[in-house]
Amino acid sequence: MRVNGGFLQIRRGDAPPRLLPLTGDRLVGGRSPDIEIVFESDTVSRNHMELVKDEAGDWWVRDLRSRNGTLVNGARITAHRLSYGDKIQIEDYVLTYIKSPHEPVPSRLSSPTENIGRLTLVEGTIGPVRSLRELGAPKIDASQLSRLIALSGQLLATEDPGDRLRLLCELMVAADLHGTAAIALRAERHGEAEPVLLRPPALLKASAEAPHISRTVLRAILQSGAPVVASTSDGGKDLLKLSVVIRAMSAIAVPIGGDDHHLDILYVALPSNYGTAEWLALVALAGELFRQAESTWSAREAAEAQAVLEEELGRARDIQTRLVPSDFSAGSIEIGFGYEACKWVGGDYVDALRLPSGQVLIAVMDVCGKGLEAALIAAGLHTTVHVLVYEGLGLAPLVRSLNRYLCATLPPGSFVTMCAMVLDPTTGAIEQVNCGHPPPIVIDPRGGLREIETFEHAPLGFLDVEEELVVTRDRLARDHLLALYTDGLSELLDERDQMLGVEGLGAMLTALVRGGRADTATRAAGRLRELLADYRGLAVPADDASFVIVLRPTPQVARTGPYQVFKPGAPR
Amino acid sequence: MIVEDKDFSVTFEPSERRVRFEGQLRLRSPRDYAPVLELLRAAHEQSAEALTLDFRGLDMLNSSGIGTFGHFLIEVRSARRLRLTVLGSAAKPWQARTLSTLRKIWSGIELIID
Repeated sequence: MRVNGGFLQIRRGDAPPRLLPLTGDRLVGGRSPDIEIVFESDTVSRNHMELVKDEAGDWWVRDLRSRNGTLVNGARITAHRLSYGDKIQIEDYVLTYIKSPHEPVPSRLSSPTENIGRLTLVEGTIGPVRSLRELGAPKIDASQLSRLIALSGQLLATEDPGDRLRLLCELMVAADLHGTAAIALRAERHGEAEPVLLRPPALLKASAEAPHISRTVLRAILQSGAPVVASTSDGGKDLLKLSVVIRAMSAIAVPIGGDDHHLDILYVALPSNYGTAEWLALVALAGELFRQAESTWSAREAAEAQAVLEEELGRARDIQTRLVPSDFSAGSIEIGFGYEACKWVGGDYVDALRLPSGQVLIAVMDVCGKGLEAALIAAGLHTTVHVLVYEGLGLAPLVRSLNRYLCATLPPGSFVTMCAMVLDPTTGAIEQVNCGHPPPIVIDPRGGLREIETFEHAPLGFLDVEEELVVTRDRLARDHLLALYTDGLSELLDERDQMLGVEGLGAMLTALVRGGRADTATRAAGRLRELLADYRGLAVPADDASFVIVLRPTPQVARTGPYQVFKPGAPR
Repeated sequence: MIVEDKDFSVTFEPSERRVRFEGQLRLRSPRDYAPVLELLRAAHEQSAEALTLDFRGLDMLNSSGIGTFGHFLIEVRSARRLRLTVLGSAAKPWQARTLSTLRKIWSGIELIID
């Protein structure tokens, strides 16, 4: 995803965070007082790190060989492209990359709305605020645990986030949990804004009023992030006497979600005698079950989104695979293809087209990069080549047109390598134009190997100049095997990260011919695929790998079998 | 100035006016090469008259890397400010082929494969 601009939220300890808009192209951070981001710490280097915007508009953080290093999300880096939410750590400073100061990181829970009610907040605690660690071991009744387990099942079966929150709050005021009111609210972790309701309060009696919320209890849970309880029965009675708004009660607050900026809290009011370890543990357990259910729903939604994406990528892969021609024969030559994208889709393009003259145009191209972006470019190449061939362009004009098209459409730094040749099936004559692509290999019947003579032009898409294209000529003799390939073959890595190399690929092709596995192009292509797969083993493919095998066997008897016999001028 | 990861390092030595590449450069996409391109641009800005790109210690360069260098070459060629020398190793066969491709983009570079 492309990102532009954004902000750095700079935090040090408990001090209020400051916000730095990312403007310009470069910001340097360090101890030096005359740079853009000043860190007041002796352990920070004078020029410690820099933020640099690249051409795509993305921001990078780079360590400037600082003494104590720069961390991103806990890992030390030298350079790292930032994504929203990344945390850069410079000693005790934490810099969070955010999209907008007004746009919090999305939370699982629904956003608060204006019309679901207002909170009444009061200063002063209703008794000492305690956590589970400060209270004795809770004695929880089995029936209460059963209720919580049932809650977990209900939460996992309820799709609507608002309904899940309602279930949680309603359970808190159910008969055996004794809450008088339960409220879900969202509070800022560090700001001064008032907390807001996430949904209307669940009340024991429909006529009852929403309870007052203790700011002290809220501050305690915001500070610790852990469940807390306070009760008038724990010494808050003096306070109670001083306040007309606080009735005899206990209050439990537990976290139920949130993000870097906010904490979502379940606040439960109970009769004063329920401010005990048991009730704190029960409510905390309910809050934890709720959080787990939210995580499960989040994972489920992510999996569904991923499934949709994979289904679409699968369709894209099918389409791209269909663009690779089936093995075919034309006149006295046979052509077999191999195509494997290292991801769902790839940036290799292999093709062979019969020309009206009876010759065959064979093209192998490799788009710089991998994945969807490269695949879209490869699909564009397929269409363009077919249109240019349909228009009757010869080899050199076709390559020039392709170069112009790519110069106009490729992003900076991208390019396409290409080997395109016109092969005459009758004579074996080859005309070839090569633009930064590995030269084709020819294997003779005894296994001798040579590379086709090539004049190497710059890859396509780099230079929009009308340079003279050199067309080299060669000949494919009878019973010789011709292989065009992308560097995904020669740079194939095995499980030990060892590269196959051109020599290794040549050895495979030689073995094919010597072993009698190249009697047909389809058989040769199939065997080469097997050899490549064996070489790779369990290593994850790092590049798209494609090839074209051409055979020009000595005519013997009329061939039968899988090949479609092509007669010049006949419909394909 | 240095850009490095576990597999590679790219170092600019201003005193030598030389950018040295070592290890295996096989970042996923042209975009991932942005820090390397920035280093090259900085080297270009800070070097007067001449700059050397020393690939002799580089064991692998993928297509996205070639694209990055090609892009840089076009920038240097357009600026017409300095002489560029590219050093490669004959002991690494891929270098002769790949680096000669760079020469196709700008024939003005001095390519030394030894």
